[in-house]
Amino acid sequence: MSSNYLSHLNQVATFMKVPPGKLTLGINNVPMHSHEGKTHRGFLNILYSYLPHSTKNLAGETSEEKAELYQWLEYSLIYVSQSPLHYLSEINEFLTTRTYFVAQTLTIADVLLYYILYNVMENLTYLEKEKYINLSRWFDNMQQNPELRQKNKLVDFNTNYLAAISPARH
Amino acid sequence: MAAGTLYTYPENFRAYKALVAAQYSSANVKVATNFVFGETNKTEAFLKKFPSGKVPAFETSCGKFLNDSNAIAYYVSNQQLRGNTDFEKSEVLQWLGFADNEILPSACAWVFPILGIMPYNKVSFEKAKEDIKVALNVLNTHLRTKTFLVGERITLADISMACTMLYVYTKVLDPEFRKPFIHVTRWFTTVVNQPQFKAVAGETKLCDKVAEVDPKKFQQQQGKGKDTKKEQKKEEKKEQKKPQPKKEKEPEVELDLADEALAMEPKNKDPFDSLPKGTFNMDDYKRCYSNEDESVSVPYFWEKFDSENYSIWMGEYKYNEELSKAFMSCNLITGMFQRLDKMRKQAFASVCLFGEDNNSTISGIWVWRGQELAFNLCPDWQIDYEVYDWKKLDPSTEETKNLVKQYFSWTGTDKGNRKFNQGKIFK
Repeated sequence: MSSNYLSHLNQVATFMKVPPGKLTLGINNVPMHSHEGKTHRGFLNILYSYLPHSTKNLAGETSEEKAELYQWLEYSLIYVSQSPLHYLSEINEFLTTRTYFVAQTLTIADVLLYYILYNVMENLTYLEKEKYINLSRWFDNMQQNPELRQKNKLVDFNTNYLAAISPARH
Repeated sequence: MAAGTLYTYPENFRAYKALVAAQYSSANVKVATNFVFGETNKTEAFLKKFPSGKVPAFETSCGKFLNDSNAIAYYVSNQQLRGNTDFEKSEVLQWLGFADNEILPSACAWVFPILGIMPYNKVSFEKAKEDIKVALNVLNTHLRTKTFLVGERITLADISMACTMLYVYTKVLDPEFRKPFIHVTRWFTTVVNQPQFKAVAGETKLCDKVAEVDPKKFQQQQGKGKDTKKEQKKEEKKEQKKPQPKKEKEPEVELDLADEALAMEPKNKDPFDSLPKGTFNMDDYKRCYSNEDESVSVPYFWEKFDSENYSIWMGEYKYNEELSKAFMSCNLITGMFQRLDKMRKQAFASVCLFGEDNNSTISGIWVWRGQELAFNLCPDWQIDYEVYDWKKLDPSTEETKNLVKQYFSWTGTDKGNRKFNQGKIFK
């Protein structure tokens, strides 16, 4: 995963339209960032250093939202990014009642999770996409934003294919 | 870019469609500030612009006129809201139609009796709940794989649908009811919490507990329209006695829709069917009463009367001191008769006004099938009966016989020796 840290940070920075700065991996694979003489260490610190420079409001409004947001970022980084497959059903469950991870608008948590989950989602079978239906719905919603998707391919969520094999109820 | 003036009363969910759409498209939509519902839209100048006299209505800045909430919302939308392709545009239309045809009628039939805009009718009320379930099921299935109704971003379809569902979600869809419709609720919460939506409709709080029907509310709402001193006074009095939990701002506007919903309801069963028929033939007696003099019809009544299955009641108006003009008091009686229409078949009554203007009383003799207060048989009949004191009369006593004779033949005086003025027969 650590090799992906830098590319994720790059993608996030591009989405937020802020200069990514000089990104390197330091001791123990800790991401390092230097921009205009300032240095940040650690993934979340770098991420948060981007936030104030973006014109997009991705940081949550209230302090509850900000706290929730931090929780999701930590969760994404510590758990999901290490072994995404283990967390799909948990995330799917959570998204049953939610459109976005935090509050009712897009935040940096959605953005980061899109990049972290991209490789996994791309390789899911149709059956698995059907199994994680809420996750698929969220992911499909995310990837329709060209600024967010960037060079990634559109993951196909066409359920007609499945319906043809065994007509599902949905 | 679209710009113009929107005519509407405040907190109109139909007008919200256009106002929210304008928030997204930054269209310059002003709400007419001096609009008074029921006055402005009845003026000649208004009707000249909008012949239907209905709101919301929209006047563009270049002096063109639009009616219909969907049309106005579409006009002030941007491309993203209308749909980016021809197919998306059609999908938006599809959901606008779904909201108006599948959701709105049942939503009104369910919520309006609670707001007091429409009289409560148990059958249509229950049917509305079932219909809403069917419609929500369709939506739920659609939203299982979709974040928004059309495409992957908010469109006019989402705005219109959420506006149409605003009342049901805030008034009647309690957590238990909306449990199976988890995707609809997720979608609804997301839409109403968008900053653009909140800017128009404010915070939307989902219903915790189903609001109950309060028959008094309907009476009050109806009373407002008539604008007579007496009714207003009565209203005030009632409000003091039983303060309403929340004064609804919703005016008695949507009655045309309410009528529509009422027309859709199936034929009602006679609530008297549950009681034994007995030997007294109401129709025969009414015929006799209409065709013969009271000297014949009153003895006929006692000859045929079946005291086992029928009962005689005295109903006295509680607020006699508020009665003013005689013709208004008579309207009060006939109004009650009209609202009890379905009771006619198994009931007969003579209700009389005694005295003259500003000094009068209303009381009447009622006969109906069964030994209990008949109004309890059907919630539709409970609108007026509470403003009367009800006393069951013993058919075997001489006193009852005299009262029956007096009221049926429209003679005599009331307890305060006021002379008989006018009578109304319920038959």
